[in-house]
Amino acid sequence: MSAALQPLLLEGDDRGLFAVFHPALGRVRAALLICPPFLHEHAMSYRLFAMLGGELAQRGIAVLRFDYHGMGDSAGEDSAFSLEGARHDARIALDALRSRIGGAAPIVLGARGGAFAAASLADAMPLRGLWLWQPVTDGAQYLADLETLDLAHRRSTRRYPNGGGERVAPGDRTIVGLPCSATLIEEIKTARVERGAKWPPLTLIEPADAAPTFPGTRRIALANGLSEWVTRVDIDHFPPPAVRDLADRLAASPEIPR
Amino acid sequence: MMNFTEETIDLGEGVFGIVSQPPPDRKKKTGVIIFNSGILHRPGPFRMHARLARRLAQLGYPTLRFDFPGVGDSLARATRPPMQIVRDVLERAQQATGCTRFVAGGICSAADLGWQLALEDERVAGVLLIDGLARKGRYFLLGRLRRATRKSLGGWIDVARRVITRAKPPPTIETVENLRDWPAPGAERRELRALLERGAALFILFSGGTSYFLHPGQFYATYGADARAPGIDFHYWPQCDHMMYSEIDRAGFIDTFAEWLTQRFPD
Repeated sequence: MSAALQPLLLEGDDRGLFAVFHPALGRVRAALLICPPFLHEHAMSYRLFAMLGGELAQRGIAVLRFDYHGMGDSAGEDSAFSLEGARHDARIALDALRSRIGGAAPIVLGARGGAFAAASLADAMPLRGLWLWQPVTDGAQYLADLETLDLAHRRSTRRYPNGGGERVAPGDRTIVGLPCSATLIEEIKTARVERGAKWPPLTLIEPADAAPTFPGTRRIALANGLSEWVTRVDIDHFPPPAVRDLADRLAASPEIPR
Repeated sequence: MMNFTEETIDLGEGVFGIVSQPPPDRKKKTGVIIFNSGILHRPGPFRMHARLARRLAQLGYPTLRFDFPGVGDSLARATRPPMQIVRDVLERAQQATGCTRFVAGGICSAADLGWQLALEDERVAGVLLIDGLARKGRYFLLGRLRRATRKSLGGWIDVARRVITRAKPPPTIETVENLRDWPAPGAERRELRALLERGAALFILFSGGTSYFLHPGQFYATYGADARAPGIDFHYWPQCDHMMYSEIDRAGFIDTFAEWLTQRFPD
């Protein structure tokens, strides 16, 4: 049984960020900020990270999750989302977490495109650990993959038995169903995550059969059911035993005191 | 310029909701409750529910969205039937918004829930039904025939293979009507009559993305003469998929529903 999660509307620079705080059960062993994926992957993974946050809280890890400006329940039009804005929002969320758990350096988890925001925090300030979940490190390749996925859905006769999936309003640009700005497209094209000299201990959370994003790094293998959402657009189900097992392994990380 | 606010409200049992509120001096008596689309969390498919809630709040309608137990942030699974949960949500929505009547519903099973809630609680004065109940019948067959005439050679080869092997056609991705909690055939006409007799208004939209609704005639055949009653606004968008993947469809739906709401519930 964990303490009830707390929905928050974060004050800060008029970004209107929605966040959820999972207070740790009992003694606070560590604090974790989750920088979520973006675009369709944000919704696809939302339940997974909610479940994981709840499980980690039961293991003494206080967790703060948040939606970037222009994503989820945060303020802003869809097209207001940007990578630069996401990095800024991650700092606001980190401050909100710190204000709740005191001075100890938190761990930051960046999932998929959230790695861009998490890496920027790791470059800029001392953290206890950096956990990267199936991180996107090559923005140009990521964008190409998204465009391929988007086209497949627009042309799908299962999604659109009567056609119509390729309709786009004049002047609009969408990726995987979501409107996005020209700025975001350019940002993703040029974005890269490269291991920084100031990074804290790094843990990769990836499928066992995937090539390690950063060779020679501690890695936690994802069980079946926890990694497939990255290639889908529609909703998914996450097996609770696999989430609990992952929480056990994350909570046993060397950077977390016993 | 943002002319609404948002606040979270406790709905009990580890569930919270987000209410998009108009400024107090512009608040109307009618509120809106949007239910989850299946297991997709609170902001809705491609964020459509969050956008809808904010648009409606800007027009003066307090609008609540939340996650059912077992969905999104509501970590614990449901221990009670959905109808018991939405009854309590309606009470809390009234307390939080001060509204005395509501429009409720959503996509797919959320439409079914809005319909059922309206049947038992007169505070639900309007229902939002996207891909709600419809029976198949002869218009469904006509729709299949119409689709068949547009099939490519590859599509025909698939059909021939299915006929030969007696295999069932693949369902469309999101909706399978046997997962729905629908009443026995015929009950929907009595239920619609009951709703119309007490003055309820219904916004009904069918997309082209379900496996069971292929022709607009199905709607009229399902609900009979009352389907043309003045309380009903019926839309069929054959080029729209079930989850409104296209921004054109989402923006079109939000505009159309907002216009309907302001006309049907001006105060």
